[in-house]
Amino acid sequence: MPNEKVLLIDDEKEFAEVLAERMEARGLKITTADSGPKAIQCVADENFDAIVLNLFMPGMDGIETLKQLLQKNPDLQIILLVGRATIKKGVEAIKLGAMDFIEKPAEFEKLMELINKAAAKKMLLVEKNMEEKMSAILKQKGW
Amino acid sequence: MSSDSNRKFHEKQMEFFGAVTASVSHEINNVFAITNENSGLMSDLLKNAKRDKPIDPKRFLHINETLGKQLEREKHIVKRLNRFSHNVDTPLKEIDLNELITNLCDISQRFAYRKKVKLSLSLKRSPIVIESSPFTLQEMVFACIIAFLSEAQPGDSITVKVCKDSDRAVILLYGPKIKSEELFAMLQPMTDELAAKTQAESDGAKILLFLPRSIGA
Repeated sequence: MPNEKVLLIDDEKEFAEVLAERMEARGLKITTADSGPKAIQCVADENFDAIVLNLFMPGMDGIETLKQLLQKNPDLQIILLVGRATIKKGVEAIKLGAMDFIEKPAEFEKLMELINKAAAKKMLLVEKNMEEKMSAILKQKGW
Repeated sequence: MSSDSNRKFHEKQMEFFGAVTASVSHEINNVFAITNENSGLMSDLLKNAKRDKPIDPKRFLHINETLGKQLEREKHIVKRLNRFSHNVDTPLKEIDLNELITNLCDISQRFAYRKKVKLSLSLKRSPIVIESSPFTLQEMVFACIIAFLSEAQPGDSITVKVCKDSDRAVILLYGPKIKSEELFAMLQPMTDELAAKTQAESDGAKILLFLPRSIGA
């Protein structure tokens, strides 16, 4: 998956930085945000193939950030990082529209697999949207 | 205390213990996550190193510094948890209030951080020694901090001050206005056990907790 764009949201800057470095070494293009509001701004400015979001953050927590991100764009593919005791929250996040969740500290290769899956899903959604738009245009023009 | 209120009192104690240990374990987990990624980064660098492109020693030095910092952080977290856990060893003992409230405020920092609230502590230089129940005392002050946090907005401040008047130790808490009657009703079993007195000032923006030098006194 070359140059897939990933948004990494975590208030632990040292964690986000090193994870970003490892992901970039695998060819991903990483943007980091240390809070929910900053992440919402990033999504307004740029398109992402996958979003990795920490559940426990100060101020706007992961669940609230997830809700607001999906409100802005329901096609976003969001993977939540959850603690062992907060797996219930992970399930709640799936119900709200997150693509998946993974326990933090995450196994790097598993996280990469999820990002891969998210990017593929995003691609399918983009293609589907494109097809729908094309079909609407064709119908409108009566061709 | 009736059996029903006794049960509720113990449930509240367990709630407090659970809230603190859950918060501390999240902090430990964050340290694990950073350590885990740095260890992974070292493996990545070693795997990708080639004869014509050796590893930059500065890179490894930086990783080593990060790991050292996290180890220090971990030591402090575990120390706080250890001190907190030992509070249940003896129901009644001689305690230095400065030390006890410092540890409680350290533990409470993460709760404040999550709400983006500044929690600060003001202490007397000399130790304030009283005979009391360390666990219940911490539970009572923690309940006050949580009451202030529940009304706080990001950017607000909460201050905890420890001092003494003629024959009592006093813990003062300043923060956003709270419904002090509700808080004091909730604190009742704790104040009974500690023979403590409560008082609210400034429309609930200032809470005073008076503690006797000894519960039996």
